[in-house]
Amino acid sequence: MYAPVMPGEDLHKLGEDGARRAKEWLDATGRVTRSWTVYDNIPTPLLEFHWPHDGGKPFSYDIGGMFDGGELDLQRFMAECKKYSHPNQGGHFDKFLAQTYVMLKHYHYAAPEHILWMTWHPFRQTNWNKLSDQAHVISALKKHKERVFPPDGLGNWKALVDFDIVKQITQRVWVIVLSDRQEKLVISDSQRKVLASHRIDEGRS
Amino acid sequence: MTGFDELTEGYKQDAIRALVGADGTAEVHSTEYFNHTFAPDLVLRWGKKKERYVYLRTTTNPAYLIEDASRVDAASSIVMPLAEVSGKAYDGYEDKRTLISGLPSFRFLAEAGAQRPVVGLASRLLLQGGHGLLSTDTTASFGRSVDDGFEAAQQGASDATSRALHEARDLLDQSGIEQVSDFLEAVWVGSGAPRSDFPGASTASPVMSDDALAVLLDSVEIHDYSFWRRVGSRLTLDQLVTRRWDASNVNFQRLINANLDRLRARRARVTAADSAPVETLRWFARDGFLGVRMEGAEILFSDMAFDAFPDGRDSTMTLNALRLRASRFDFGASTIATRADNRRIDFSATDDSSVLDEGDRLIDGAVDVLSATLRTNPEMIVNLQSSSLRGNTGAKFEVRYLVENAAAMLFASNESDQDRLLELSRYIGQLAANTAEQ
Repeated sequence: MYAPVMPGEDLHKLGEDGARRAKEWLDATGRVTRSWTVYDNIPTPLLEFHWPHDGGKPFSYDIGGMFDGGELDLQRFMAECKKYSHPNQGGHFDKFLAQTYVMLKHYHYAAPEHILWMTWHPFRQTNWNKLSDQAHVISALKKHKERVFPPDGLGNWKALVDFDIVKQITQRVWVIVLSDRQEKLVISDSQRKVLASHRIDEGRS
Repeated sequence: MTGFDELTEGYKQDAIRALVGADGTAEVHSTEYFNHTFAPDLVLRWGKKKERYVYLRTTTNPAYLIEDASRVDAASSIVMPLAEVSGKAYDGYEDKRTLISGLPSFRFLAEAGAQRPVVGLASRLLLQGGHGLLSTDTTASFGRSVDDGFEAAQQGASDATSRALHEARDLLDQSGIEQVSDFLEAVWVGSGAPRSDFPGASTASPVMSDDALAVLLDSVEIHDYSFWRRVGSRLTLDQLVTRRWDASNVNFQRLINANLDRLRARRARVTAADSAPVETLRWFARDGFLGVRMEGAEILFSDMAFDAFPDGRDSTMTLNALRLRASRFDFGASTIATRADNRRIDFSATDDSSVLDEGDRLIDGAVDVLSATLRTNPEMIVNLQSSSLRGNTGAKFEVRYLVENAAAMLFASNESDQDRLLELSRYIGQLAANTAEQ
């Protein structure tokens, strides 16, 4: 069992609150049936991983879950949540891309179909439509190459890049931007109860 | 199934096992949701009248759980963290209508209830109508309290009985409070203590709840017939047969034997069974019938129509044979229906005499008797073709009289077996007489 990432107290609280709010919003879309967060008090082996090199430090995703209905039915997702009120997220996003490369490459049993970056503030506006394209993924891998690639391969690390994995990242990563008000712009509690009650009565499971 | 599916299903199955262990009467339905903000993971149902949604939670953060509890339908919901909850962190939980209790609490209830039937009662009532925050310690304390209350009520001791009632009022809904009170009051009164001294509000209900009765019968052996006589004062046949009771349950035997003069049924039928000759009565309840095991057969008692009974055996006998039985077992008949060749002829007495008198030569003793209307009050009609006993219209009979007359007319073709049945009839009569005096 790996130990979860443990930031400082305040950051931890911010992270936990952000993950909870993101999870609630996802639940409120009506397109998620199962999820949990890495801050919960049960083992979360499918959210926690380790860098392969440079000390093998742990990293994790904030939320894991499963979509429901339509083209997303029964497809899994993981999400990283940043309850930030500023755009200074680029560095964190690069780390997220590098972590995702490691997860897809080395922990394929846990690999979900969708990997979400959920934030409360836009960032890198000039490259907004290319945030997770191949070039940016390679750039992220370069920044974190000591963690991703073996020490004796760092001189020619680009030759070690698995472009199949890079392609998967470009296809699987989404970015979702929320706002405090937008979180409330979902179906009401009473409507949700009717929906859930109907699904339960149908016995769909 | 993916690893994620297996993990979430594993948690749900753990929860289901604990819930079913805590209350085996609940039907548990698993939904497609897990740890969802707005939709329940499980639905508990008790028949068509009661339902409770269970929201599993992977967090034990007190603020989050209180917030979740405020979002759901209070009284009909349970918020169940998968890990233990600690009481100290929940000072902000004022509403207390929703039950917040961790999986470890329900596991505890399942284990403790399996060992002590009275704790099992407390466990079921918590699941069906408990509210507030329950840590494992609180749950254990409540189970112990109700168990101690049971012991105390048997002694007519008010302090521990009162404590159990107080905790029930704190943790249960109105139905649960009444069931605990009802149960402890029945034990209190059954033990001989005055009802007026019972420390709770008397339910004054004519019957004990089914659950309370089941706990009482499954609890420690209580030998005192007077206890069961007093408990039986509030029971009906319908209540006794709502669940299955095996002939090996000694409390059930004592309860029936102590109340043979009180239990009444509209109909009885003798059905074939693989049972050895018995020296005493072995009572059971099955499929909505009260029953007693006899010589290679069972007698079933119920208010249901005969359509609902299993088929009875053909006990048709000649008039001569019936006359011999009437003489041995001392019964008479005002009317008999007979069959000779392809004719059916009914004979009735126009006075108080019995058509089974041996001196009556109007009827050929070789004819088959199909049925007889006995000179009992009210009149009992015995159909020998189907081994059935009933009254006219909706008359009810004390179970003991149904047994006595069935034994006299529908069993045993040889003398030694009849001797044994005669002794059994006398035993039944004596039993009823003894307990009626108390």
